[in-house]
Amino acid sequence: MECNESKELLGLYVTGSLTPAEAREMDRHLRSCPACAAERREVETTLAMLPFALEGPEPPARVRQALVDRLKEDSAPSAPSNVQRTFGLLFRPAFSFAFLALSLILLGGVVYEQRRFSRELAAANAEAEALRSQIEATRNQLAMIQSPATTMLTLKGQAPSPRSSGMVYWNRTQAVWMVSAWHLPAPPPGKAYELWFLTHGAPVKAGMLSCDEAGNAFAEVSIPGGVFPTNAAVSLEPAQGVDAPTGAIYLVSSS
Amino acid sequence: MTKPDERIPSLRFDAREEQALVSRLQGRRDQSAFLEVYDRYSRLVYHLARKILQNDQEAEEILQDVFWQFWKSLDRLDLNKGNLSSWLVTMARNRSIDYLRVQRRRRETLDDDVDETGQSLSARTEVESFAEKISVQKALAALTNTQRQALELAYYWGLSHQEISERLGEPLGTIKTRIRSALNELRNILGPPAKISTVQE
Ligand SMILES: [Zn+2]
Repeated sequence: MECNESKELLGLYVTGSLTPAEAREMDRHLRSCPACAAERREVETTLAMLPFALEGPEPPARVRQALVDRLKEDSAPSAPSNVQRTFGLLFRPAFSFAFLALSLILLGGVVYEQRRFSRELAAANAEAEALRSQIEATRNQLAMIQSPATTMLTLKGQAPSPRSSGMVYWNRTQAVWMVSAWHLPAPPPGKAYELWFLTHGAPVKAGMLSCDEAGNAFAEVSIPGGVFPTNAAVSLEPAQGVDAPTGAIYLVSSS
Repeated sequence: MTKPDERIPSLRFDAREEQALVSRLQGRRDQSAFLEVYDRYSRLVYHLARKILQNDQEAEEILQDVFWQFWKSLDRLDLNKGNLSSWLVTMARNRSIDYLRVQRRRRETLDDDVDETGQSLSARTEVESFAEKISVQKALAALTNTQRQALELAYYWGLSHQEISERLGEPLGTIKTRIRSALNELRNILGPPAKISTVQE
């Protein structure tokens, strides 16, 4: 690419308006051309001035308060126990019922885990370490569900198993889905459940869901760049997973 | 050429203020310094997210998220160049546009009036002014309507050049030229970054 063309496209490059192929060519050119790279920074700075012209209302005071609360939690010298934390979360207002239900399930797990934890602490340090990281993971999951950037999709059981259900907690800013499914029938030998990102185009595979004996499953998946899901689905597929759904659909979300 | 009126205060911190804040932030993780930054720039971030998302509640989420990310990634930020507001603006725009692209809502309901505000926005606007607002508004007013439209569709709507060209019913080449000339024009009016910035060294 020549400098002329690069300069012509810089603005659209910075706003992310080029085609992927053009953007790749620009990347290449900018890596090798200090003059265009410098101009790119100027364009970025100019564009970053535009919002100064905007007008609007004051941001609500609750956002500042939420940040102040998070700062307090962030700087607390020793984190409160998970049980206290979980109770704290439960008693915050404006939590959805579904979240409450999930929290109770997680809380049960944490309480159980902690009892076990103290019983076996002396005997099994290695196991204690594993539990600690599990608790840490639970804490992170709770924090993610609690994030204002998280919305939910409800998974409804389809014809093969209407009593199955599930929930997707979708953290849009971290591009993460936490998926819980309940009452899935045990998959036949050689088969397993596969999760799908439904998009405006073809479904994109999101990983396997393995169930416990009760047919409950949990998975945390990252949404890859360039995938823009609108909904979720779970189908029964060969155990090693497939690239495009072939089997019966067990769960589908309605947003 | 559009030197802001001397009596109107700047929104941005001056070089010394910003340097002092950055050292309190990065050195001591000083929470009160963080809140000073929030109090100064939260409106900028909020108005930008609102403009892109056309929704107060989503803008609130972005606002909290951007500042929290800022706090969490302080140690990794290169904040010694008077670019605090640039960093926050760029982050807020990227987050908002990502959110918008995921939702794909706007494009499906896009109507012809680019400047129309969404129904979900609360109507009350503040009247307070500051130097940067006045100079950028003046600079934008100096562009032609078509330049402004193309720039707005790219920056605030996050559209591809193809989509901009379809929307404005103009060939792709024209759109590229128009964005380029709009940016040159803005830069000429606002001056190079070193001048528009309140940070002089
Ligand atoms: Zn070049």
